[in-house]
Amino acid sequence: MIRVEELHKSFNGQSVLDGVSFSIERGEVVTFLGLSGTGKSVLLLHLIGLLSPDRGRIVIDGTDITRLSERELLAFRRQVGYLFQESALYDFMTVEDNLAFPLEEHTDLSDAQRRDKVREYLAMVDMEGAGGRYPSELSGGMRKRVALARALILGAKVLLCDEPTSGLDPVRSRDISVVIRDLSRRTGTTTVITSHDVANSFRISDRVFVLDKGRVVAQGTEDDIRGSQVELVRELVG
Amino acid sequence: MAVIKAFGDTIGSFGRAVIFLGEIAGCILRGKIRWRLVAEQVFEQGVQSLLIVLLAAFASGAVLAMQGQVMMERFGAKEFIAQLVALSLVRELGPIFTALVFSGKSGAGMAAELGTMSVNNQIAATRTMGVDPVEFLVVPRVVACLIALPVLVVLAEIVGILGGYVIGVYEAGVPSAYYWTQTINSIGFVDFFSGFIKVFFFAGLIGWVCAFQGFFTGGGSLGVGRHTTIAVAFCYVGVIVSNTVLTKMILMFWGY
Repeated sequence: MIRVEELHKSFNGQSVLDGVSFSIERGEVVTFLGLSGTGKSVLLLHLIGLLSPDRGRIVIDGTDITRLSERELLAFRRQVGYLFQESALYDFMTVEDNLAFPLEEHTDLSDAQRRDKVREYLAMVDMEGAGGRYPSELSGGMRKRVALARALILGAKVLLCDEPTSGLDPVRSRDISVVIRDLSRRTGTTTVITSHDVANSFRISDRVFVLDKGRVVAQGTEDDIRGSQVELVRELVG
Repeated sequence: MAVIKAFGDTIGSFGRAVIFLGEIAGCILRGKIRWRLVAEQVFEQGVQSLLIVLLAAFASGAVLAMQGQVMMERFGAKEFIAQLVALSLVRELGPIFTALVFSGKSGAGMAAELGTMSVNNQIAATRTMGVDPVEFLVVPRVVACLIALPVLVVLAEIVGILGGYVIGVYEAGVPSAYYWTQTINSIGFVDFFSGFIKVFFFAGLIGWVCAFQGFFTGGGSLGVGRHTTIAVAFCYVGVIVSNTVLTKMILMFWGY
């Protein structure tokens, strides 16, 4: 489903991704763990084509997205949902309008059908009744849930989540992690998460990758990671 | 070394601004204009600036009439106050004052809005949803500038003339009917359009500069403040300098 080969990226001569390679099967939930500044978010931005690599290939569902033009990328992104760390909901729209926006842009659904779909996705993230509220009236956890529903409402094949638990208390962190896993399972979405939340990453991921200095230094199931001899990995999973 | 770097950065930034302008123009020429959003923006930008524009226009007209009275009385020609006020406002002061006030109100608002969206990743989110953010967020604002500013200028000119009327009639003692006749007779087609044509250039300039500064804002809330300030400063300088060039060109090619 997703194959990344020898991905390199530098900013102002500073290497951020230094030959990252991995592959992810359809329907898998994987998490990239690592300390801050190890290139996790940069990697995710490459997977949706918001950054282009200096070298390397990113093949998603058979398409090498590094070769797509900006116009082709806009079309490609309809199949990919992206959950931003800060949720990135439009603050000038209500929750309902935020969810309806991708449907208005990319589908021919009638108003009634759109409303039904919005309600369905709000229910999936336990946010029924919040449709008329503005993002500024919601807590951080609620905004994340709404943003998750918006990311998936077009039936994304791939879901990318950038630090979904950052800024949330432990209970909300677990809640949003479980919601991401459940929705991914229910919709068959391939999900890639970046995080430094070790406990929740193990709780919801089929596999975990550990990034350090722009390279994958460990990968596998929870047992594989916990058994790793790499110093950083041992410190991270403590 | 620092000077060379700053020069390089300025050239790079100008290049990006020109490419950005090309993207906006491309959307408009391809007919990718979301008219419902344009209408919302026209309302928002117009309402934001209306009161302050009209207040400034009324005061400008009144001050022109006061100074006109002082100058004209020296030559025994105070009945020409109406012409002085009308021609000054229509040919020059109406467009430029309104553009400056519009930059500081609506332009700053646009830069701050887009800047906040940029630092909160709402612009990036638009791209991730497969929507062109220039088409969705920028084009409606720029097109709205091209509609709202000319309307504001016409209203400002009318209210400015009213300001001049109040002083001309009630203080200088010019008869009311005479004042109106002189005003209407003094404004020719060339007078109105030599001022009005510049307004579309100012509107495009304000829309472009403020949208560019907002769209490429980084650095959190500090960045929003910095980019908004830069946007307004560039607009002020751009409007004043371009007005000089445009006025010279209009006088050369259109005559007096």
